Amino acid sequence: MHRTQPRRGRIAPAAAAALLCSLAVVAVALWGLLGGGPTPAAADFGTPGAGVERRDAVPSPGVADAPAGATPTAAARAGAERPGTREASVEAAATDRGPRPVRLLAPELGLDVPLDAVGVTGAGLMEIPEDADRAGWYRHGPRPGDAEGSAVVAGHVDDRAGPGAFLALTRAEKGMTVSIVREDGSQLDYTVTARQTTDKKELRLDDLFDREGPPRLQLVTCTGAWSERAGSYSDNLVLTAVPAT
Amino acid sequence: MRKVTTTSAIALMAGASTVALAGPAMADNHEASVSVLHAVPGLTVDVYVNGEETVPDFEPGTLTDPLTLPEGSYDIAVYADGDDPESAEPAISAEGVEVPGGANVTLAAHLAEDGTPMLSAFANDTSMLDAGQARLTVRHAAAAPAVDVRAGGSPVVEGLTNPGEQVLDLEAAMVSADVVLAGTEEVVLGPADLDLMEGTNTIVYAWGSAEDGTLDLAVQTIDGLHGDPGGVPSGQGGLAGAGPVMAILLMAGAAGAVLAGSRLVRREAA
Repeated sequence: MHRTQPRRGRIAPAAAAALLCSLAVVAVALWGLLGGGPTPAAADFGTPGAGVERRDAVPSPGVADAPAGATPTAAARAGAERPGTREASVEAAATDRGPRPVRLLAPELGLDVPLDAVGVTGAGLMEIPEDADRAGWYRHGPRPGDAEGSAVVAGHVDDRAGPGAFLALTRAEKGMTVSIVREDGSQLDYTVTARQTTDKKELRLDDLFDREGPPRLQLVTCTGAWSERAGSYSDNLVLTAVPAT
Repeated sequence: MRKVTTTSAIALMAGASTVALAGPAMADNHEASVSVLHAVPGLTVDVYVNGEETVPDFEPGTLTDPLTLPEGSYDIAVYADGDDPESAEPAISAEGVEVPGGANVTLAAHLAEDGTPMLSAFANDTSMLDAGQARLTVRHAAAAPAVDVRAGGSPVVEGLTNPGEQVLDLEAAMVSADVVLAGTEEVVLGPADLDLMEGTNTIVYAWGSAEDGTLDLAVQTIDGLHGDPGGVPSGQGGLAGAGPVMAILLMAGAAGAVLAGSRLVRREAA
């Protein structure tokens, strides 16, 4: 203390002020560049896994589970197991997959977003509607209303012009209601249980696009720092909701 | 995931002795999934596996759910419904059908090109698909000459003969498919709307007899082969429009700090 004290008098106030100002500018710029800025930081809550009971790893689709119990011989096994049979016609193979989702509502967030049925891009990523006022439902995965699996709806947090509808997800709170309106006019209500922000490189895609397990709705957008070079944000924000009881 | 090279239909003519089923065995998997398709017109049958009645009262145009069988060698016999295996001759039989562990197999009772009943064991391709993709497998199991299969009017499979197959991976979609005599426009089957679902192997069999006017299509599906999208690119940078501005600010700020700092240092040194 005593050693530095005398020096103080010698510091030019102007230069010191300039230094402080410059450092402040650096701080602001860093904050702006490194993610405090572009998208509002949204705290995580809940765990996407909450209430989502994972079943054991599903065996390769081609290989059905072995029935429990001893299997003395191949012959006995083959004889013991009598498979069900079904008609193999084209008509019988056609599956009714239920009505498609067409709108997402979140009254508490002021959200009323039309949905497009989307697939994958040429690069193998989930397709997102260009228009940030719309969102995409991943049509290859589960539908809202299906008995199991994660229905995925994703929207841009922004477009070149500014904020997108899904920016509102950063304001979502646990227990909020979000709803899906389907093409037949029916409405499904969900309760928000979790929000997670994850580095895109670490996003559990198999979990997000899970076709099994309890039914849930997962809303996805981007957050974190914008990389001009990559043309993308660093993180994904995933909001998980389960059917309202 | 392994990629099964198909076109491994193995025809087992009645009375054939030993037949190995093509299809790679999975190292640590000693069970196979076996479905049975009945594609012989006009004959309800009982199917016996290793002497045990496994599929009773099996109607033409029907398919069993997959059976889980330990890898090994199987004797298959198909009797007319109600016939006693002790006394009656089987309508079709095959001995020593090798079923490798890890395989997914469809055993089809069908007609040969000349109309003789036969058994074919087809190895089903259950390798994983990319997100958005569907697999179409086409099998010729009919008493009919070579055919082409068209989707949306253009041939996707050409010159397919009994008991051959062809496998295609394509974008998931609803397609209108028909079957024509090879190299002609003469439609023998269809058109039929096929929902080629993503992540699913849709296996279409042409079966029956051209001569008897019993040609038909049978469809088997194997799902769960889907891949996940590689990511969710859900931002376009509009909110970060300040990005370049911030970068300039950062550089300006840093330069300012260096300048001011150096002045301070110089003063102190003085």
